Amino acid sequence: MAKPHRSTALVSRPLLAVGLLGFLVLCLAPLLLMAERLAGDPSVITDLVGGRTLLLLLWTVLLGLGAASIALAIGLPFGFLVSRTDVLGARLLRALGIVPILLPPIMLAMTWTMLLPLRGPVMCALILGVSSFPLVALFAARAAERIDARREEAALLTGGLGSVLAMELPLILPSALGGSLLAFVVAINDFALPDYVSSVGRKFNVYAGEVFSTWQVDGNEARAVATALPLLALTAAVVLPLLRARARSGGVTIDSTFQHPRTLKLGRWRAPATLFCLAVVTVGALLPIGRLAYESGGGSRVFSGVSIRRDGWTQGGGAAQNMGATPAPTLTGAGITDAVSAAQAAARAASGGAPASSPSPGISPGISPARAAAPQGRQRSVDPAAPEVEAALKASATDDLSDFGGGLPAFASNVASAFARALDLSRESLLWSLLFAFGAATLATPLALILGHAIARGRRGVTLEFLTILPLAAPGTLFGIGSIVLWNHDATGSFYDSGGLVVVLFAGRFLAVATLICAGAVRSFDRRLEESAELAGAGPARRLFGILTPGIWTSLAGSWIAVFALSVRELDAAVLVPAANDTAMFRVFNAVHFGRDDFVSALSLLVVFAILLPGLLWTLFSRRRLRFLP
Amino acid sequence: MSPHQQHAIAIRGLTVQAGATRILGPVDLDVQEGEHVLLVGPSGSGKSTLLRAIAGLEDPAAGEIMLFDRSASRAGSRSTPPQERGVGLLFQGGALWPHMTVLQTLLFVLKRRGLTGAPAKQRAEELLELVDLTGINGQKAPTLSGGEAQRLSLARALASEPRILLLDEPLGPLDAPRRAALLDRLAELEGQLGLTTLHVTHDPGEAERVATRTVEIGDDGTLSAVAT
Repeated sequence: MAKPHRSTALVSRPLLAVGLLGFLVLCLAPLLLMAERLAGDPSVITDLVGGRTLLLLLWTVLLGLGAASIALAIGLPFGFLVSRTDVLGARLLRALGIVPILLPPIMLAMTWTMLLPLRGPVMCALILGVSSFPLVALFAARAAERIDARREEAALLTGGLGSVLAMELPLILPSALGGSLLAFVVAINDFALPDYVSSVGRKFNVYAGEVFSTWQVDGNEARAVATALPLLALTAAVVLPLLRARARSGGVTIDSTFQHPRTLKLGRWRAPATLFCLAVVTVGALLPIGRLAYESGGGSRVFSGVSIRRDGWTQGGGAAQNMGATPAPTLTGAGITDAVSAAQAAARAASGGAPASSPSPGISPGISPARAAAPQGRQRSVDPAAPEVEAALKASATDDLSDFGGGLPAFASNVASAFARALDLSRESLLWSLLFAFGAATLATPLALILGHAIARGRRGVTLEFLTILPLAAPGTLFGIGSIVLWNHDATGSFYDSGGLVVVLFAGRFLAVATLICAGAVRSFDRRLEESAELAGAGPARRLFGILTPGIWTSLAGSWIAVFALSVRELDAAVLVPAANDTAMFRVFNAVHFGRDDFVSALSLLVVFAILLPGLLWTLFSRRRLRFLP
Repeated sequence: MSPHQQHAIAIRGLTVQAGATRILGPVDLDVQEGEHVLLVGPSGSGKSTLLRAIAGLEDPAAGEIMLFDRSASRAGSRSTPPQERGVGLLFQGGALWPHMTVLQTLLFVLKRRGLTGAPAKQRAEELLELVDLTGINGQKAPTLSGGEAQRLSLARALASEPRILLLDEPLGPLDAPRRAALLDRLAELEGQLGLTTLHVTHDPGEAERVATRTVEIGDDGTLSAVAT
């Protein structure tokens, strides 16, 4: 097949310059700075070679493989069933099937560590697999929808549904595998979830946590980058072939004669298939959300009437203690919050010293000067993000212990008071989360459109695409450290302490996602429409915004919503940057370790609502389907 | 109709709808065993829909389809699944599976019929010889020329040993010499295999020499015989 004709004529140079400048500042600069620190002290690489590193890497790869396999096993059949067959409520199931990837994995963990006795890497892989199965399902669904109706019917005539599945599996599998590779990348870079699962069970380490710990111990950026190198290499090894495969096959299955395949009738398999899909969304979305709602109303103590006296200030997982699980022998869960203060202080010291963090009022009010000035190394601290929240929660921790028993009325009353308390104590955090996410999505989407257009239409599209994906491939912790090093200087001190940095941090972290979505949309947009506008005399900007944008606006909306949702749930990079410590997700992370279950649950539900809000609004007010896929 | 002949296809009052819109019918049609009937008519008159309904790919909103005197589809009742109707359909454009080679395409169909291993390979070779498509077993479908693709599509339809062959504009992508060659091959195969053929075309002139009769489907969905 002839290679698709590519031309730079359709790409506006000034616009591309703006896009690249934005990309450089938001995404590349933090990573380049970190690379520069490594170049200044290459000897730290030799420290990497050791049994501990290899063991951690092995665990991390096994964790990633486990999560990717689970995601594939669930996501492939789910994606096919809800997109192509007559399972009952397919449309609703399909929408619900996206929710697990939007939920912070830690919220799934809060439910599943209660319900299953599994702990350690197995539980972690299970949760990460369930959390990321929508990636596989989305890719599988799209591939299944791109099979021409006549090809499918030809298979149907030769042997019914079995033939159709046998013929289509090889066509869908590569896309589904692509999704599972992304699940692998997500899994190996996650460190908040292993930390949480460690806190309610036996301790285990993963490589992403090592990057954080290295930074926490001595604030040596070179060592932190060196530690992150294997993860970067692993991620690049996975992502590069994916990009190449996508560039080769982009959109070739659909041409002008394409006929959309019809809904397949499952016959006697309809009921079991519906049950399977229902079970999947129950496990991944309904149960975690339901459990949060249940806990926000007081949980078992309300319905069983059993008085489980508990310390409202459990360390290492209150939920697990309620269930009789053994608390973590070490204060692992608290370890990260301890480390936050130390790491932030180290950042200030290491990056040239800038202002000892007097956070600007209203932007990051939760950061105490004491924490900002904390010395390097481990130091015990209690909910560093919000001493005032801590005090309020402590006061309320004993208030409601009389709520045992009481059934539904008490439950309803507890729900109301838990939400009132969560709103009361975290209103600002929620608002900041929404504002940060709104800002990040609004900043990233236009840049993504420009870069996506250059990727799809420019000469060096694959190279540019790989570059744009780098920040996503780098561990969140590394990106966070890089942002601190970049912005924490006298000249940029006020910006560093402001919410502006959080917007920039989130936009930079997730610009890759938006760019991939936009690039995919541009690839599927008929280039002749742009060429005819060019012949009619329309300039590059007019073609981009007047011809292309209206044609791919569902993808633009999809990329905006994706960046918004990911920003609201972001934790790995945000945990390091002081100004980002006032997000609702950060507060949930702290409260999981230190707060009451009903408060944590109510706040988590509010975060979930914030994450899903734009998608819900879109569903309510638009008939068009959002496009999230690259 | 001679005493030993039966209706291969008998259609009574067939109507097909897409949602609330009627896209075919009501149609009545009888095709005797061994006939090659040309079905002509303007675009959008429902020619392809009629073939798809006979193949079981469309459910009737009203009426009934009988194949060899057995009810295959009746409005409101369970239809015979497509794969059990003894029907082969040559799709417009071929509709070949892009990820399979020529040989794999046929082996795939033969496996559904319980034929695997060496016997399947031998049968596949025979089918390819039957449609004059030898020496390109390893080529994938997208690399085939228009004529080769149509012949592979024909071999795929024949692999399931149908008694009825439905052709949906099979000559569309071919140039004149290749059209003539494929028609000749079709006529030979029909005689050899005792096939009944319903052949949709927008150009009756091209296939009249192999047809036993021509039927025209009007804008209102009614059928009428065309003198040839």
